[in-house]
Amino acid sequence: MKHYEYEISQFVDGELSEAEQKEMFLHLSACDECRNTFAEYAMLKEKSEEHCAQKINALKLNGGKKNRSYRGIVYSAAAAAAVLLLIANLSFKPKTIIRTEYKCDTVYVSSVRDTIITRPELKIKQAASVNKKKAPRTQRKKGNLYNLFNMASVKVTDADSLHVSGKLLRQNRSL
Amino acid sequence: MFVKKSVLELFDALSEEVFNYALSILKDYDDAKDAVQEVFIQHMRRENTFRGDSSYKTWLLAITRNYCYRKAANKSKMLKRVGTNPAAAYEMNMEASITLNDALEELTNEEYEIIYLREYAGYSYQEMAEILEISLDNVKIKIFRIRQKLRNYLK
Repeated sequence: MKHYEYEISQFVDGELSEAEQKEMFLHLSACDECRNTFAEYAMLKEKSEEHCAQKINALKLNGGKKNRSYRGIVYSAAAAAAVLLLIANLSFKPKTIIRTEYKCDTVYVSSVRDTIITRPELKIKQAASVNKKKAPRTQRKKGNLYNLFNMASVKVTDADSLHVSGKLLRQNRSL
Repeated sequence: MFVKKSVLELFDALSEEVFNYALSILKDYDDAKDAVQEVFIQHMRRENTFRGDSSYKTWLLAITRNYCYRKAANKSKMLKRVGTNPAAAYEMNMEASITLNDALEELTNEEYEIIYLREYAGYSYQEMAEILEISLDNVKIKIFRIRQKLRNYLK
Protein backbone atom coordinates (compact mmCIF):
# COMPACT_ATOMS: atom_id res chain seq x y z
CA MET A 1 0.00 0.00 0.00
CA LYS A 2 1.16 3.49 -0.77
CA HIS A 3 1.85 5.71 2.26
CA TYR A 4 1.02 9.37 2.37
CA GLU A 5 3.61 10.90 4.68
CA TYR A 6 3.98 14.11 2.67
CA GLU A 7 0.24 14.67 2.47
CA ILE A 8 -0.22 13.92 6.15
CA SER A 9 2.05 16.84 6.96
CA GLN A 10 -0.32 19.11 5.06
CA PHE A 11 -3.35 17.36 6.48
CA VAL A 12 -2.18 18.17 10.02
CA ASP A 13 -1.94 21.83 8.99
CA GLY A 14 -5.40 21.74 7.42
CA GLU A 15 -3.97 22.69 4.04
CA LEU A 16 -5.53 19.92 1.96
CA SER A 17 -8.50 20.52 -0.29
CA GLU A 18 -11.82 18.95 0.68
CA ALA A 19 -11.51 16.13 -1.84
CA GLU A 20 -8.00 15.37 -0.67
CA GLN A 21 -9.17 15.40 2.93
CA LYS A 22 -11.84 12.83 2.16
CA GLU A 23 -9.29 10.64 0.49
CA MET A 24 -7.01 11.03 3.50
CA PHE A 25 -9.72 10.00 5.93
CA LEU A 26 -10.44 6.94 3.86
CA HIS A 27 -6.79 6.02 3.76
CA LEU A 28 -6.23 6.61 7.48
CA SER A 29 -9.12 4.35 8.35
CA ALA A 30 -7.40 1.54 6.48
CA CYS A 31 -3.69 2.12 7.18
CA ASP A 32 -2.18 1.65 10.64
CA GLU A 33 1.21 3.03 9.70
CA CYS A 34 -0.22 6.29 8.37
CA ARG A 35 -2.36 6.63 11.49
CA ASN A 36 0.82 6.38 13.52
CA THR A 37 2.48 8.98 11.33
CA PHE A 38 -0.51 11.25 11.69
CA ALA A 39 -0.45 10.92 15.49
CA GLU A 40 3.26 11.71 15.55
CA TYR A 41 2.92 14.74 13.31
CA ALA A 42 0.05 16.06 15.37
CA MET A 43 2.16 15.63 18.49
CA LEU A 44 5.14 17.31 16.81
CA LYS A 45 2.98 20.23 15.80
CA GLU A 46 1.69 20.74 19.32
CA LYS A 47 5.12 20.40 20.92
CA SER A 48 6.77 22.76 18.43
CA GLU A 49 4.14 25.37 19.14
CA GLU A 50 4.72 25.00 22.86
CA HIS A 51 8.46 25.25 22.37
CA CYS A 52 8.20 28.39 20.24
CA ALA A 53 5.82 30.00 22.73
CA GLN A 54 8.16 29.25 25.62
CA LYS A 55 11.15 30.60 23.76
CA ILE A 56 9.40 33.81 22.70
CA ASN A 57 7.97 34.37 26.18
CA ALA A 58 11.35 33.82 27.79
CA LEU A 59 12.92 36.38 25.44
CA LYS A 60 10.14 38.85 26.13
CA LEU A 61 10.36 38.33 29.86
CA ASN A 62 14.11 38.92 29.93
CA GLY A 63 13.80 42.02 27.78
CA GLY A 64 10.85 43.21 29.83
CA LYS A 65 12.78 42.76 33.06
CA LYS A 66 15.63 44.83 31.72
CA ASN A 67 13.22 47.57 30.82
CA ARG A 68 11.44 47.30 34.11
CA SER A 69 14.65 48.00 36.00
CA TYR A 70 15.14 51.14 33.91
CA ARG A 71 11.60 52.12 34.70
CA GLY A 72 12.30 51.55 38.39
CA ILE A 73 15.20 53.96 38.27
CA VAL A 74 13.07 56.57 36.53
CA TYR A 75 10.28 56.13 39.07
CA SER A 76 12.59 56.40 42.06
CA ALA A 77 14.27 59.46 40.56
CA ALA A 78 10.85 61.03 40.05
CA ALA A 79 9.89 60.19 43.63
CA ALA A 80 13.11 61.73 44.96
CA ALA A 81 12.50 64.86 42.89
CA ALA A 82 8.96 65.06 44.24
CA VAL A 83 10.19 64.80 47.85
CA LEU A 84 12.83 67.48 47.21
CA LEU A 85 10.20 69.75 45.72
CA LEU A 86 7.94 69.16 48.70
CA ILE A 87 10.71 70.03 51.16
CA ALA A 88 11.62 73.12 49.16
CA ASN A 89 7.98 74.13 49.14
CA LEU A 90 7.59 73.69 52.90
CA SER A 91 10.72 75.63 53.73
CA PHE A 92 9.79 78.43 51.36
CA LYS A 93 8.39 81.50 53.08
CA PRO A 94 6.12 83.75 51.11
CA LYS A 95 7.48 87.29 50.92
CA THR A 96 4.78 89.14 52.75
CA ILE A 97 5.57 91.79 55.27
CA ILE A 98 2.90 93.39 57.34
CA ARG A 99 4.25 96.86 56.88
CA THR A 100 3.73 96.86 53.13
CA GLU A 101 0.28 95.38 53.00
CA TYR A 102 -1.20 98.09 50.85
CA LYS A 103 1.36 97.33 48.16
CA CYS A 104 0.42 93.66 48.02
CA ASP A 105 -2.33 91.99 46.05
CA THR A 106 -5.97 92.26 46.90
CA VAL A 107 -6.30 88.97 48.75
CA TYR A 108 -3.61 89.93 51.18
CA VAL A 109 -5.14 93.31 51.80
CA SER A 110 -8.43 91.70 52.57
CA SER A 111 -6.84 89.55 55.27
CA VAL A 112 -5.59 92.64 57.00
CA ARG A 113 -8.99 94.15 56.82
CA ASP A 114 -10.38 91.13 58.56
CA THR A 115 -7.97 91.33 61.45
CA ILE A 116 -8.65 94.95 61.92
CA ILE A 117 -12.37 94.59 61.96
CA THR A 118 -12.88 91.37 63.90
CA ARG A 119 -9.93 91.35 66.28
CA PRO A 120 -9.19 94.76 67.68
CA GLU A 121 -6.38 93.50 69.95
CA LEU A 122 -4.43 92.48 66.86
CA LYS A 123 -4.95 95.85 65.35
CA ILE A 124 -2.96 97.34 68.17
CA LYS A 125 -0.13 94.85 67.72
CA GLN A 126 0.03 95.47 64.05
CA ALA A 127 -0.02 99.15 64.50
CA ALA A 128 2.90 98.80 66.87
CA SER A 129 4.86 96.77 64.33
CA VAL A 130 4.14 99.29 61.63
CA ASN A 131 5.75 101.95 63.73
CA LYS A 132 8.96 99.96 64.05
CA LYS A 133 11.36 100.04 61.14
CA LYS A 134 11.88 96.33 61.24
CA ALA A 135 9.77 93.79 63.08
CA PRO A 136 11.57 91.14 65.18
CA ARG A 137 12.11 87.83 63.45
CA THR A 138 9.72 85.76 65.58
CA GLN A 139 6.91 88.19 65.15
CA ARG A 140 7.34 88.23 61.40
CA LYS A 141 7.10 84.49 61.28
CA LYS A 142 3.92 84.45 63.24
CA GLY A 143 2.53 87.13 61.02
CA ASN A 144 3.21 85.08 57.97
CA LEU A 145 1.34 82.07 59.18
CA TYR A 146 -1.48 84.08 60.58
CA ASN A 147 -2.02 85.84 57.30
CA LEU A 148 -1.95 82.56 55.46
CA PHE A 149 -4.74 81.18 57.62
CA ASN A 150 -6.77 84.30 57.18
CA MET A 151 -6.33 84.25 53.45
CA ALA A 152 -7.97 80.91 53.32
CA SER A 153 -11.03 82.03 55.17
CA VAL A 154 -11.75 85.38 53.56
CA LYS A 155 -13.57 85.92 50.36
CA VAL A 156 -13.10 89.26 48.63
CA THR A 157 -14.50 90.88 45.58
CA ASP A 158 -12.60 93.41 43.54
CA ALA A 159 -14.84 96.16 44.67
CA ASP A 160 -14.21 95.22 48.30
CA SER A 161 -10.50 95.22 47.96
CA LEU A 162 -10.41 98.54 46.16
CA HIS A 163 -12.52 100.05 48.85
CA VAL A 164 -10.41 98.53 51.62
CA SER A 165 -7.08 99.37 50.10
CA GLY A 166 -8.14 102.97 49.74
CA LYS A 167 -9.34 103.01 53.29
CA LEU A 168 -6.15 101.37 54.52
CA LEU A 169 -4.03 103.88 52.69
CA ARG A 170 -5.83 106.62 54.42
CA GLN A 171 -5.55 104.85 57.80
CA ASN A 172 -1.86 104.30 57.42
CA ARG A 173 -1.25 107.84 56.44
CA SER A 174 -3.08 109.02 59.51
CA LEU A 175 -1.02 106.59 61.66
CA MET B 1 -8.95 46.24 -5.43
CA PHE B 2 -6.98 46.79 -2.29
CA VAL B 3 -7.71 49.40 0.31
CA LYS B 4 -4.79 51.58 1.23
CA LYS B 5 -4.11 51.69 4.94
CA SER B 6 -2.33 54.37 6.91
CA VAL B 7 0.88 53.61 8.75
CA LEU B 8 -0.81 54.18 12.10
CA GLU B 9 -3.54 51.65 11.32
CA LEU B 10 -0.95 49.15 10.24
CA PHE B 11 1.15 49.78 13.31
CA ASP B 12 -1.77 49.18 15.63
CA ALA B 13 -2.74 46.00 13.86
CA LEU B 14 0.59 44.44 13.03
CA SER B 15 3.38 45.79 15.24
CA GLU B 16 2.94 42.90 17.67
CA GLU B 17 3.32 40.32 14.91
CA VAL B 18 6.31 42.09 13.43
CA PHE B 19 7.87 42.22 16.88
CA ASN B 20 7.31 38.52 17.56
CA TYR B 21 8.72 37.55 14.20
CA ALA B 22 11.79 39.76 14.67
CA LEU B 23 12.23 38.31 18.13
CA SER B 24 12.12 34.78 16.76
CA ILE B 25 14.92 35.57 14.31
CA LEU B 26 17.09 37.97 16.31
CA LYS B 27 16.47 36.39 19.71
CA ASP B 28 17.06 39.70 21.43
CA TYR B 29 14.37 41.87 22.94
CA ASP B 30 15.91 45.26 22.25
CA ASP B 31 17.00 44.34 18.73
CA ALA B 32 13.48 43.20 18.01
CA LYS B 33 12.08 46.51 19.27
CA ASP B 34 14.47 48.34 16.97
CA ALA B 35 13.43 46.08 14.13
CA VAL B 36 9.76 47.06 14.51
CA GLN B 37 10.65 50.72 14.21
CA GLU B 38 12.96 50.11 11.27
CA VAL B 39 10.41 47.97 9.45
CA PHE B 40 7.74 50.65 9.62
CA ILE B 41 10.20 53.30 8.47
CA GLN B 42 11.16 51.14 5.51
CA HIS B 43 7.50 50.56 4.81
CA MET B 44 6.88 54.31 4.66
CA ARG B 45 9.81 54.74 2.31
CA ARG B 46 8.77 51.96 0.00
CA GLU B 47 5.01 52.38 0.28
CA ASN B 48 4.77 53.51 -3.35
CA THR B 49 6.10 50.20 -4.59
CA PHE B 50 3.39 48.24 -2.75
CA ARG B 51 0.61 47.50 -5.20
CA GLY B 52 -1.50 45.18 -3.08
CA ASP B 53 -0.54 41.93 -4.78
CA SER B 54 -0.03 40.47 -1.33
CA SER B 55 -1.58 41.48 1.97
CA TYR B 56 -0.04 44.18 4.12
CA LYS B 57 0.78 41.54 6.70
CA THR B 58 2.97 39.42 4.45
CA TRP B 59 4.50 42.55 2.92
CA LEU B 60 5.53 43.87 6.32
CA LEU B 61 6.77 40.49 7.48
CA ALA B 62 8.84 40.10 4.33
CA ILE B 63 10.45 43.47 5.11
CA THR B 64 10.97 42.29 8.69
CA ARG B 65 12.64 39.14 7.48
CA ASN B 66 15.01 40.95 5.15
CA TYR B 67 15.87 43.51 7.77
CA CYS B 68 16.44 40.94 10.51
CA TYR B 69 18.68 38.74 8.39
CA ARG B 70 20.74 41.71 7.29
CA LYS B 71 21.06 42.89 10.86
CA ALA B 72 21.93 39.43 12.09
CA ALA B 73 24.57 39.05 9.41
CA ASN B 74 26.03 42.45 10.25
CA LYS B 75 26.25 41.75 13.90
CA SER B 76 27.01 38.08 13.27
CA LYS B 77 24.73 37.49 16.18
CA MET B 78 22.97 34.51 14.66
CA LEU B 79 23.02 31.49 16.87
CA LYS B 80 25.40 29.02 15.38
CA ARG B 81 23.99 25.79 14.18
CA VAL B 82 24.76 23.10 16.67
CA GLY B 83 25.66 19.60 15.61
CA THR B 84 26.44 20.31 11.98
CA ASN B 85 29.28 17.87 11.87
CA PRO B 86 28.26 14.28 11.20
CA ALA B 87 29.99 12.99 14.31
CA ALA B 88 27.81 15.09 16.57
CA ALA B 89 24.70 14.06 14.69
CA TYR B 90 25.70 10.45 15.08
CA GLU B 91 26.14 10.92 18.82
CA MET B 92 22.74 12.52 18.99
CA ASN B 93 21.16 9.55 17.33
CA MET B 94 22.89 7.30 19.79
CA GLU B 95 21.28 8.99 22.73
CA ALA B 96 18.09 7.22 23.50
CA SER B 97 16.69 9.80 25.85
CA ILE B 98 16.71 12.78 23.54
CA THR B 99 13.62 14.90 24.03
CA LEU B 100 11.74 16.80 21.40
CA ASN B 101 12.80 20.11 22.89
CA ASP B 102 16.42 19.20 22.31
CA ALA B 103 15.55 18.29 18.75
CA LEU B 104 13.90 21.66 18.26
CA GLU B 105 16.98 23.38 19.65
CA GLU B 106 19.00 21.57 17.01
CA LEU B 107 17.12 23.19 14.16
CA THR B 108 18.90 25.72 11.98
CA ASN B 109 17.71 29.30 12.02
CA GLU B 110 15.89 28.89 8.78
CA GLU B 111 14.13 25.75 9.95
CA TYR B 112 13.26 27.33 13.25
CA GLU B 113 11.84 30.33 11.45
CA ILE B 114 9.56 28.15 9.36
CA ILE B 115 8.37 26.28 12.42
CA TYR B 116 7.77 29.60 14.14
CA LEU B 117 5.74 30.99 11.24
CA ARG B 118 3.64 27.88 10.92
CA GLU B 119 3.11 26.71 14.50
CA TYR B 120 3.40 29.82 16.63
CA ALA B 121 2.22 32.60 14.33
CA GLY B 122 -0.19 30.28 12.55
CA TYR B 123 0.28 31.52 8.98
CA SER B 124 -1.14 29.60 6.05
CA TYR B 125 1.20 28.05 3.50
CA GLN B 126 0.30 30.79 1.02
CA GLU B 127 1.20 33.55 3.47
CA MET B 128 4.43 31.83 4.34
CA ALA B 129 5.35 31.58 0.68
CA GLU B 130 4.87 35.35 0.36
CA ILE B 131 6.87 36.15 3.47
CA LEU B 132 9.72 33.79 2.66
CA GLU B 133 9.55 34.70 -1.02
CA ILE B 134 9.52 31.09 -2.16
CA SER B 135 6.93 28.99 -3.98
CA LEU B 136 3.99 27.31 -2.28
CA ASP B 137 5.30 23.83 -3.08
CA ASN B 138 8.63 24.78 -1.63
CA VAL B 139 6.91 25.70 1.64
CA LYS B 140 5.11 22.37 1.75
CA ILE B 141 8.32 20.46 1.17
CA LYS B 142 10.29 22.47 3.71
CA ILE B 143 7.72 21.93 6.42
CA PHE B 144 7.55 18.27 5.58
CA ARG B 145 11.35 17.88 5.73
CA ILE B 146 11.57 19.61 9.09
CA ARG B 147 8.88 17.33 10.49
CA GLN B 148 10.67 14.32 9.11
CA LYS B 149 13.85 15.50 10.74
CA LEU B 150 12.18 16.03 14.10
CA ARG B 151 10.49 12.69 13.83
CA ASN B 152 13.78 10.99 13.13
CA TYR B 153 15.20 12.48 16.30
CA LEU B 154 12.44 10.80 18.23
CA LYS B 155 12.98 7.38 16.74
